[in-house]
Amino acid sequence: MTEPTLVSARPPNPQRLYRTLFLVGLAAYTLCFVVGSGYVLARRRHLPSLGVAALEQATEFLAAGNVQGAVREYRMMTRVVPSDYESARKLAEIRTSIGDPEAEVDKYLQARQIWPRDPNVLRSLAWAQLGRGRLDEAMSVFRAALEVAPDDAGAHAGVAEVFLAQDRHAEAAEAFSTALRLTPDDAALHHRLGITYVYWGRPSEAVPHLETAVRLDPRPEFRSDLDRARAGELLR
Amino acid sequence: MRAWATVFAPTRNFVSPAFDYLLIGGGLSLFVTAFLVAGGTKWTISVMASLPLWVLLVNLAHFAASTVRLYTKRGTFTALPFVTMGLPLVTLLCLGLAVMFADVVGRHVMNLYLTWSPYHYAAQTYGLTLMYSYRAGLELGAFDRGAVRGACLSPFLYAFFKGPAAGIEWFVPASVLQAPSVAFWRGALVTMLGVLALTLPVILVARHAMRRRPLPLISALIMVANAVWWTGLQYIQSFFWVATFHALQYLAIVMIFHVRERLAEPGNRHGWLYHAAFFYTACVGLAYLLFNAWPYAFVAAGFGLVESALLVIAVVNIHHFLVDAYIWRLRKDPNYKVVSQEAPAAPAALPIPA
Repeated sequence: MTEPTLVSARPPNPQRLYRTLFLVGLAAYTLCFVVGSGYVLARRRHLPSLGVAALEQATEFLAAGNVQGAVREYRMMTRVVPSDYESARKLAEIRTSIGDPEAEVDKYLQARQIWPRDPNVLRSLAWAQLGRGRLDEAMSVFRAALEVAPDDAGAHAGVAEVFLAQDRHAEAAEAFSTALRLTPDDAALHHRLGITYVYWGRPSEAVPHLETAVRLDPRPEFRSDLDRARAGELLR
Repeated sequence: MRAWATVFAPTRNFVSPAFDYLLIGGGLSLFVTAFLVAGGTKWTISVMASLPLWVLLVNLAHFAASTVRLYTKRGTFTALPFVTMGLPLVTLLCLGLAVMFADVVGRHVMNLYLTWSPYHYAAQTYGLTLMYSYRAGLELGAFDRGAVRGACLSPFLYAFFKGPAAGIEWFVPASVLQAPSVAFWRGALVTMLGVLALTLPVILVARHAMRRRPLPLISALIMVANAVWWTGLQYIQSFFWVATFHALQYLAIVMIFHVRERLAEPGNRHGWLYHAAFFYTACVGLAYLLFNAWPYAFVAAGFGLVESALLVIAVVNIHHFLVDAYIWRLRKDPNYKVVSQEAPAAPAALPIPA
């Protein structure tokens, strides 16, 4: 029986490895530069221009009517540069134009990432959530807005709208009243408080507020609601 | 004149007082800052930033300059095998992965580049400050070097804590930073660091003057200029100019090193203009390929231009920062010969990190 022969492995030659890496790298970079230049040359019939704007392709997509392409580019912009609210705003605008119902919510979610304690942002996000029928999320964000700015009439009104949507009339009326204490001349708030009383089955308390709303802002729908409330016709 | 000499050591210029003080020292930037503060802000930024050729010739060319320097400096393939031969492929692979997973890692790559950027500026300031000190024959001990480093780093700390978007905002959630008490203390810290950034160079000058070991004026100017860039120019939202002056400073010093080394080579048959033009043309050409052609290679491969363009910028920046950390070393390096030329009693080899 023969003894197994130990063959010593050749020590690795780092210089050779580096040289190989360098040549592969050089080839890869050359390929990238040729492909990049060739791509632009083939599509635009000129070499890459001196200034490359990151959103250049998004603009081209929009001009060509490729909305999905533009949405993809703007969405990536908001991911890579989350602090770029202008792109988030533009993205929401494009998505809204194609009927995407989540556009507004996503815009304000992005805004909340940037300004998490801004009551205007929180209030806007909560209203957008309310608009999508997400009552629990909306209430949570309205409450967060009120923690930052307890005197925010818009956030109190939002809380009231959530209660109203949940048929919690007493709490809705209380929240609308709080909002009205902060902005007593807000016709829309008087109108909504009046409507709340109507749904609550307390028309005598509703009418004064609906009258005040009409006095402050005599728009036709306020007047119509007042007339219908007086006639006992107002239904949800 | 005698009183002046007790405050500042005479500067050993590389080219001429005008060139060294205005471009490398950042003197030009102080004039432009004064002009911008006096009301020229919007006009100059909108005009200059909209000139892609200017951006290519100055800002982008300076990023490419470190790579050109790496490959034109004699002996780097032997001395820095990984940086010269391995790093390019590693960089390409990292960029490829970053573009592929841009929606997850893209913002971190951007934040890394934006956070590192003011540190890179501070390191360049430190290197140049020491370089002129050595040329003036001033040997700085460990404490003095630490003090200079502190003065140079204070604008970085100011930028780190101030934000926006990168620096501390990368590490700490906005909900924490925007809490009233945190926002208050952060504001106070930023104000203190801004004041320190502007006053530490003055304190250093005074300290050295009192010890009769004065710093050269240009060393003080370099520190003040960097502090003004990050406090004054940032304050008036003119970051475009900060990048421009840093790039001018970088291009000037890197070309001086390249030209001097080439002129000193035995058998050299060309003048300084030839070597400078060769180096600069290579920088501009490479910058064009890196920033203008490279992103479209990823677009051709099916990725969007947004992630391709932004991450190419970020990765080229990071590569520039890394390469700089190697190519500006002085210890046992030909760089040292260039720094010590014409310098009286230059100290023994000391590192100048970039």
